[in-house]
Order: sequence, then C-alpha cells, then structure tokens
Amino acid sequence: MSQQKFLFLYRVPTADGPSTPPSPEEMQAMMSTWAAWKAQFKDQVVDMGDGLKPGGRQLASGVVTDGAFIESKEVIGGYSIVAAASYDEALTVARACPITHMPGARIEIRELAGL
Amino acid sequence: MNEAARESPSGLVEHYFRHAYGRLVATLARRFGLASLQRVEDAVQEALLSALTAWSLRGVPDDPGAWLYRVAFNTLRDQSRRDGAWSRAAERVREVAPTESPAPEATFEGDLDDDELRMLFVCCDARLPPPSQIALALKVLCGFSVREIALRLLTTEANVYKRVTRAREALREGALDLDAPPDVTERLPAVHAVLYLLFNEGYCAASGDALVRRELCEEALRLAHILLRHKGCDVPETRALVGLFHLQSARLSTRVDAAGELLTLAEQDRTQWDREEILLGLRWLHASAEGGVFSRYHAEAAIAAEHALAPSFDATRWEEIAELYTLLDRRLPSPLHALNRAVALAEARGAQAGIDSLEGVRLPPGLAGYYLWDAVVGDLLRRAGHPAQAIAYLERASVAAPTEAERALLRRRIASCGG
Repeated sequence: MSQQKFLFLYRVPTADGPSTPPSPEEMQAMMSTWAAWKAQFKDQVVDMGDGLKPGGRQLASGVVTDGAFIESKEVIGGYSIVAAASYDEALTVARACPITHMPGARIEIRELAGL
Repeated sequence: MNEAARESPSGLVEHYFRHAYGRLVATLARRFGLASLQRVEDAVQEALLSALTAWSLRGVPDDPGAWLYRVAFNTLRDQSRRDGAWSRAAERVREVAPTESPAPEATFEGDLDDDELRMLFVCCDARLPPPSQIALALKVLCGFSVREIALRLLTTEANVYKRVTRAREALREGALDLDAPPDVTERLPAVHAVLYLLFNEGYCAASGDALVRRELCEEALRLAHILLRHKGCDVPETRALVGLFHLQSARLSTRVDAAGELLTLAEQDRTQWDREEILLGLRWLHASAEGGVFSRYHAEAAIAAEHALAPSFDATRWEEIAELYTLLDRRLPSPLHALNRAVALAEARGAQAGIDSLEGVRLPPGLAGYYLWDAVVGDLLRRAGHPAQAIAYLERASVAAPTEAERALLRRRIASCGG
C-alpha cells in the first residue's frame, strides 16, 4: 500500500470579543496532548507543521489588502503534514488530533497531488 | 530543570509552565519596574502561548527558560519603544540589558532566586490586606489564573480579580523599588505570616477539592524553601516554619476519607503518613533550634512533631503537647491555643482537667459563637459527666457547624448525652 501525503489545515474560529487565555497549567496540558499525538502516530505525522500568526496580506489583481480575513468566521490557524495510505487512515489520525478539542475548530484534510 | 524537562514524557516537568510564569514575572518586573506589572504579566502569558505552539510542533528547546525570557523580554521592549509614556521604563531597560537578545544565563538563571524572593517580599506588603497579599502571591509568583485561585481559596473569580487589581494599583502608587527591597529583617515576619496563611488555606479547609487545595501547601513550601536559600532569610523562624509545613504535609493525604470527609487525628491511618516528610520536618525543626529563638512556628512545629512521632492516638505524649500549647499561648495569646491545650490535657489527665484549664478563658467578640469552641467544650463536658451543660454547647455547635458531616456527628453526641 503506497503512502500518500495529506495536508491537515486547522480552521479555527476567530475570537469574537476578548477571550480568557488558558492558564499556564492549562497551556502545559495542551502542549502535552500534542506531544502525545505525535508519539502515537509517529509514522504518520511526518511534519508537525506550524501555527500561523493572525493577520496577513492578500494580493489580488495587483492590489494588496491586509487584515482581509477579519470578517470571516474562521481562519487557518495552522497546518500539519500526515502520511497515510488512504483518507480513512488520515481520518483516524485526524480524529485523535488535539485541535479537535478546541470548540468550533475544523480540520480540512487534502491529499497532496505530489506534482 | 532542563535535564528534568527533557526526561519527562510530556517534555516538561509538572507545573513547569506555571512556575516558569512566576519566575519570569519576578525577573521582568524587576527589569521593567513594578508600575508595569500588568504589562509584564501579559507579556509572559503571551510568551507561554507562543511556546505552546512552537514547542508542541517543534519540540522543547534546549533552554526553555531562556527561550521564554527572550520572547517576553522582546515583547516588553518593543512595547516600551512604541509607547512614549513608558519611556522611563525603557530607559531603565537600556541601562540594565543589552538591546540584542540578552545572554540568558546572566539575566535569567543567574539571579533568578533573588528575583522571586524580591517579589515575595513585595507581595507581603503590609499596606495590602492579607487576603490580597495571598491572592497576589498566587497570581504573580505561583502562576495561577484568577479562576484557579478562586477555586483554591473557595471564593468567587470577581473577588479574586478585585483583590489582585487593587494590589497591583497599591504597588503602582507605592512605587516600591524592586532594586532596593525593603529591609529584609523588618518584613520577614510578614512573609512568614503570608506563607503560613497560604499553607493553612490548603490544609485547614473542610471543603473543596482536596487535591486541588493541596497545591496551596506545596506552593507555600516551595516559596519557604526559596526564602531559606537567602542568607538573611535563613533564620530559626523560617526553618521552624519549613519544619512545620513538612510535618503537616506528611499527614495531608490521610486527613480525608474516601468520601472526602475530614478525619480526626484519632481516626487517621498512621501507617499512611509520609515518613519522608516527617523526617524532613524533624530535620528542619532540629536545624531551627539555635540562638535561643523560640517562635510560634517552633511551638507549632514541635506540636506537629509530637503527633507525627506518636505510635498511636492513645500513646501520644499529651502532657508535652499541653506544655507546648502553653508556650505557644505565651508567645501568641489566643483562646484557640487554650482550647487545644484543654484537649491535650483532657487526653492526659481526663476530661475534667481539660475543662478546668479553660477557667477564665473568654472568646473575644469576633469569635463569639465559633462552632468549634462550642463543639469541643461541649464534648469535654459530655465526657466529664455534665450532660445538661454539654447539651447546651453541643446544640449551639450543631446549628453553626459548616458541614453536614459535622452537624451529624454533633447530633449523635447530643443523643448520647440524653441517654
């Protein structure tokens, strides 16, 4: 069974209004869930990826706009690359991903074309 | 810390984030001034959030403390550059730290203990009411969130928020200088008192999540050990306090039963007492016996040691304990010390001796109707064979007792008087 690569795009809701940030203890707990996920699927999670800073720029028809995503309800908060034989296997990895504990978060799973 | 951090399965030792928060706030508050305490707390919070993402994905850096320091420091420095009104603080920063990323060893690890110690002395400012001192210490030194503090002190988040905010304001107005901390010996008693209160918040409460509240005891012990590392603070009183904390900690897990109800000393399973904590406590109590100093903490630690060393409730040296309560009462007169002495005397010489020892002891107006007083005196009267008097005390207590378990126990005792 040949391995394909899948892009996990983490779509998270934009904060509406000030929210209480997690406490240091909670942050550490959250971090350990990511470490556990990576350990559990060490063959699949080939690249943990990165988080994305808020804000950004958009270029369209030569016109640059910034903060263009503010009005949308969700933003891409991060990504990872996962190796799996099928969408089913990728979904198994996704279901255990810590981002699923974040209320309103979605994982968009896309197979890389490998061009 | 770093080695331990890498060894731990989750990458970091328990409570690392929370304690890193406290250390960073203490260190950066010294650099940027107490007036910007809120900004410092926000910057440290932000640095930890960055760490959450970065370390989750790429692993923990070799020196996590330095990593966090750099991120928080840069945030504060950038803010200070943007903010004209904050230029004075910025001046200070330029004086004490290079513009480029500071050498982490020199600025973070180097004087780390001193910074936490300084912050502890700041929190124990007599101008703040004691509840605010505790709330502030838990917030800035122990890294608890407002919600977590409320949970541990059995109060509302709004109340904790108010206490912490007012404390910050008082510090800003008072403009205490972290570079020139107040006279250590002058303020040390206040620091002892706050640590003692903090420990008791975790130890004495009859309600709340025992495991969660246990952390208050651990934090009090951790801060007391920081105190010990400083020459001027390593005095007999501090050692006695540390001994007391260890001795009490030894019994922590046996103080509640499976249903979470408080167990009396007689009911506790002594085989479950933590021998290591007892030994540590005895060692510190021994080390505190120098220079002829005998403080209230010495008396309380010595009493705790008597209990810890007693093979059983009946074989406890109650005469010694009664004597220690007399010494304690002489240093810090309180009807509650007299009450505890009466309990010890009742065990040593019979209930009537206990009652007799309370002759002339009056509860101050503030403690009038205190249920424990009525409960204990009522029980002594019951055991000494004065059922009618006993019932009056026990009935008052059974109305005022805070938990159903205690009310039920008191009602059973009333019933046994009637028979």
